[in-house]
Amino acid sequence: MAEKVLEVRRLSVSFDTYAGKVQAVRDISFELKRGETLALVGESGCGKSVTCRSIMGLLAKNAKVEGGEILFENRDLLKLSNSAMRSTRGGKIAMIFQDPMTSLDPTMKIGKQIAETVRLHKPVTRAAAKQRAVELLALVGIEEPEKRYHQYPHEFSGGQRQRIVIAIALAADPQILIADEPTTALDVTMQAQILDLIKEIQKKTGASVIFITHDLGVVANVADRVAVMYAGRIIEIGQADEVFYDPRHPYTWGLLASMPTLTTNDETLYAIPGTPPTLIDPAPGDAFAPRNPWALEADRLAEPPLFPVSDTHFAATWLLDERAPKIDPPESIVLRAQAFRKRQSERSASL
Amino acid sequence: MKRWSKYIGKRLFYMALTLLIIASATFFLMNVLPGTPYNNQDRLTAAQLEMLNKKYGFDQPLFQRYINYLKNILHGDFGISLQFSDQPVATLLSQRMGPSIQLGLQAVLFGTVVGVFLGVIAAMHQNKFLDVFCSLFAITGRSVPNFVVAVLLQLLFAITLNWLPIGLWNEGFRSTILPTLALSISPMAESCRFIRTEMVEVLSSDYIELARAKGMSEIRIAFSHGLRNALIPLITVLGPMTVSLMTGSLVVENIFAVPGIGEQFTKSILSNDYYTIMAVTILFSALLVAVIFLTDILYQIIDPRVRVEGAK
Amino acid sequence: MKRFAAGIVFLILILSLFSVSYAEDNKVLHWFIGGEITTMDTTKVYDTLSGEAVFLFADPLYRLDQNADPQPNLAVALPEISEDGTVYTITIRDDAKYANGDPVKAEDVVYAVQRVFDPAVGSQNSSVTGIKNRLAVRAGELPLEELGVKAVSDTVLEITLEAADPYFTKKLADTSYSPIPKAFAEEKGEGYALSADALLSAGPFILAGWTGTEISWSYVKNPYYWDADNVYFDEIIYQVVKDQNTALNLYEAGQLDGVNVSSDFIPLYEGQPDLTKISTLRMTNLEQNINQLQGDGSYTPHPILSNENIRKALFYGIDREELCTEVLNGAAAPAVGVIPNGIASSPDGQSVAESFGVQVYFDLDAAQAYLKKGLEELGVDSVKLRLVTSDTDESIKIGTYLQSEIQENLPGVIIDLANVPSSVRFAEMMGYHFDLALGGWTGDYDPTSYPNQFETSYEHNHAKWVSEELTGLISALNNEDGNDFEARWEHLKQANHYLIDNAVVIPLEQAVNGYLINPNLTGYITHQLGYSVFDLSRASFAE
Repeated sequence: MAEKVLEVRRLSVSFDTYAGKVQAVRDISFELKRGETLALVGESGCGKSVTCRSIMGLLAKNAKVEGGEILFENRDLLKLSNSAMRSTRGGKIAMIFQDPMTSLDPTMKIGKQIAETVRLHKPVTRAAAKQRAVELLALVGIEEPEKRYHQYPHEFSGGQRQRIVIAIALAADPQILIADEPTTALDVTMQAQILDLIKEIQKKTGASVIFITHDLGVVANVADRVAVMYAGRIIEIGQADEVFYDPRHPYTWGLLASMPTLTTNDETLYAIPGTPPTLIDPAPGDAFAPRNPWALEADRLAEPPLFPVSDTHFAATWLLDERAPKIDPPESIVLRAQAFRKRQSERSASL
Repeated sequence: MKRWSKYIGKRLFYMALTLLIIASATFFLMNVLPGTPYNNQDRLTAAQLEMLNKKYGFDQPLFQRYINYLKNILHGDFGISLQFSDQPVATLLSQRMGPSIQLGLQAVLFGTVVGVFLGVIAAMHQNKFLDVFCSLFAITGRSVPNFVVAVLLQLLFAITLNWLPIGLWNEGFRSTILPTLALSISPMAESCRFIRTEMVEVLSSDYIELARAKGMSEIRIAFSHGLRNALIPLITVLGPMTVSLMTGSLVVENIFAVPGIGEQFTKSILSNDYYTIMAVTILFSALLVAVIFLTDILYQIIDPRVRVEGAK
Repeated sequence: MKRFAAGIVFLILILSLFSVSYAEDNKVLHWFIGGEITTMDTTKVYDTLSGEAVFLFADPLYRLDQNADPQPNLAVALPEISEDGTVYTITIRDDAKYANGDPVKAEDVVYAVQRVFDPAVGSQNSSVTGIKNRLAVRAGELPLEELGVKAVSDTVLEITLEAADPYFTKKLADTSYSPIPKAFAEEKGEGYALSADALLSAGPFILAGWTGTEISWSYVKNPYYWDADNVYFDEIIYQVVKDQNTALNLYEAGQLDGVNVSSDFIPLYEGQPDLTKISTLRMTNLEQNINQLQGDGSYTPHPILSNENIRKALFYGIDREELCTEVLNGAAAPAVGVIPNGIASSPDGQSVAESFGVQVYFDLDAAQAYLKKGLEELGVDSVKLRLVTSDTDESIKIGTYLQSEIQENLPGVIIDLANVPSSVRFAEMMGYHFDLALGGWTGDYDPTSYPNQFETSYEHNHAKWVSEELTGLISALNNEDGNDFEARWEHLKQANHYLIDNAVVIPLEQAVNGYLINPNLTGYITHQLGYSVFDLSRASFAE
């Protein structure tokens, strides 16, 4: 159960742009275990999408992998040939995209778009592929799948289209599903349904999921583990509970504090002041330092490594260094942690 | 089916109406042309002119001639050609139309297929050598007149290499090769440019990204997902392109001595051959109108998002 | 079964290869023509292209030899002419047959000539002249039988003229005088001559493969022709090639035995045995609208061109030598007068140029003197004149040359050049309201037809020049001089001189046509005038 299915080691990716070289992903490492859901969280531009595209081999033409490895099935995906990567992509590792309204080919029947994926990765007949496509449609909750097989994308609602996108992703029984903000473009009720669907599928197929999002509420719903990214680095990673209820990095504090809860009654929402850096020629030190109310002098001089908080929980902040001053997290965080612990103990007490 | 028949019926009516308006406008405009339809007008005496006008009915009042003409058309009588020794215009057209239509169709078919192919390649290698090459080719193709290309082709393939006939429409398919090539440069360049632009846009779409994520090869993506979407706008221009080729083939037809009708477009006007002017105008207007209609239908068949008005 | 059929097809294909080479054993001439045929009806022909096309299957009464003298053809001898020169009696052969074996009769020639003037037929032919009552018949005022052509017997024909015409025998060499069987033509009705099978040939060849609009057709030897023994070719194939380049290429590739060469290309072939130049009697003139038609139907003198000195300035201010050799590359010869050189000889055998003297030439000093006087008389420093030409290559070339030449030689004269389609130019000229126009004129064998262009009452007198003196001369030529050659020649000389003295028109050049002809081809006759340039009927390849 704790078997590793994907390992990203010290991955760095940069982009050649007119403005200069943008270091989008800087030396990140993480693992994905079989059957788990790992959420990648962060603001726009933090590097989460780039990370996933690196795994899929779908980087833009001006992207350059500066270093690192992505290990899958004992091979480094970064070193695979084009054709070998193509058989992995969509077959063993599949992706679900963000905007369902534009993700499907408007001129091709949706059934065919699914069947085509099946035939790409499995040597089956057209009829068999069609059969599988119909099954998948049923699996993702499209009614009357035989009839709807022959319909075009514009005949479906946004939520239904996203289901079809998921069906396409599942077509070849992938081991890993990468979901790139799959619910961002949907309304809240749709969101819930799609998330439920993904969880259901995961249970049925045992696939691992990397879930990219900027919405912490979604994370809470689906993730087993969470990795928080900022400015191209993973600054905190751990079990979902750990990160939510015992966050150690000031950025994570800021993220959680800016999330409205049912008890929030302030009139203005808290927002982390400032904006993320541009990542062209980054300054030394912690990239979050300029916006960090708890920044230490050390943060400006050197990048903090990932300090262990527990076996499974790590945070990259000098605050965890034993030489650092002891500071308390913001009040809301502390309150939340307390409430959590209280619930935990109540639960274990009732068992 | 019912929605189709209603739609088609309506369109056919409008097509006929359009043709009637075009024919009538042409008829009245053409009578403003200076000169007479008699090629020997330099030498004819006034008496002869009078006699000829009487024989051909040109001495009747304009409106009367108009009505007679319309009546005759309904019987399939398009009048006689004064350029061609009083041959019935219908005969003239049926004899000479074939080669022009054949060349027009061949040129468009060949040109479009090759052009689309080149356009896809160019789009896939955007801003690299192949793209620049195709773009240059497209610009050259649009700038160089087709008769220059025709003469060069004739010089190279027919005279220097002696692979193909110099001209004269008498060797079956081989005679059509060079004129088709010359005429196809324009649609080829047009299609290449068009498709390249469309494809570049299409290839940056989300659904193409998804197709890549499926593990499809670039080429397959380009041709099976990209091209479908890029082709749709091309269909709109294909129709008029075909018709303009059929009508604009005069110089190429002359160079290769093809017995086509392209020349009649201008020659009939220059020689005041009234009935031929009318017939040629009606013919090509009809072709254009029909082609536009077919394009609309084709559009609806190919692009599932477009549907006939009043349909589900 | 499929394989059997495929085998047959294959066999046929192989055999067809051989049939091609078999056909090569036939004696075939590949000839060229510059445009489609306007008519194959000999009675309607009015242009060179059609004239060429009908010539091979027509059998006119006479044929012109290389000296342009009429020789008996369908007729057995030159005509017997009455004392007063108005009645021509012609005997035709009794062994002439149509391509279906039927005998040719005199009444067939009568029928043909009647068709020329039959208003129901509507012929644009304007070269058949002189026959009695023709104008009335054409206007519908008299029935066809009143036309001055009668069949006295199956082989004797009688033609009555309105006035004696010494050139009439030559005119009898026209294909309009070719026999057409009435029954056949009436049976074909409106469809007569619209396709090869609606024609019945009495001539050396039979038309084949023509249904009205082809650009290639052929003439097959007529076995019934009375002179079939002297006809060499089994087949003559005509090909329409409109593009000069392509025509030359075909000739060089051996696919054509004759093509025409435009002035642009003549220099390329200068000195080669293939190049043949044929002078013609086609005049190119700079026409002046001396009296302009106004909106109310009256004529007023042109504000500038009514001044004789201005006209003379233009007349002598153009270097025609340069025009012909430099601009037209030898495809033209400088005009010698209003009447072209080579059309006829004087009674004592001199050419037109020798007898009348070369009246048209370039004299810059004289021209400038005339200009000065003219401008003074008009009271202006400069004049502006619009020159309208057709938009053919040749016309544009000549027009452009004239513009620069006049403006350079005659400072003060500004030429505004307009290149328009032929029908537009023609309409302007026939509207008698223009300044200068580049016009062409081809008359017929009677030199009178040239000065006649400027006769007061003639429609194509675009200058609208009014002159009793000229009318008198023309009238004398047409009605009084008869066969008095000396009187005729004197009147022609006077008419020519008169027109030049008054600078009514400015003759420029006479066209010279260039051709590339297979050097092996012999026995063909070339004509300067008339509708057929080449008489290929007795042509052959030197073996």
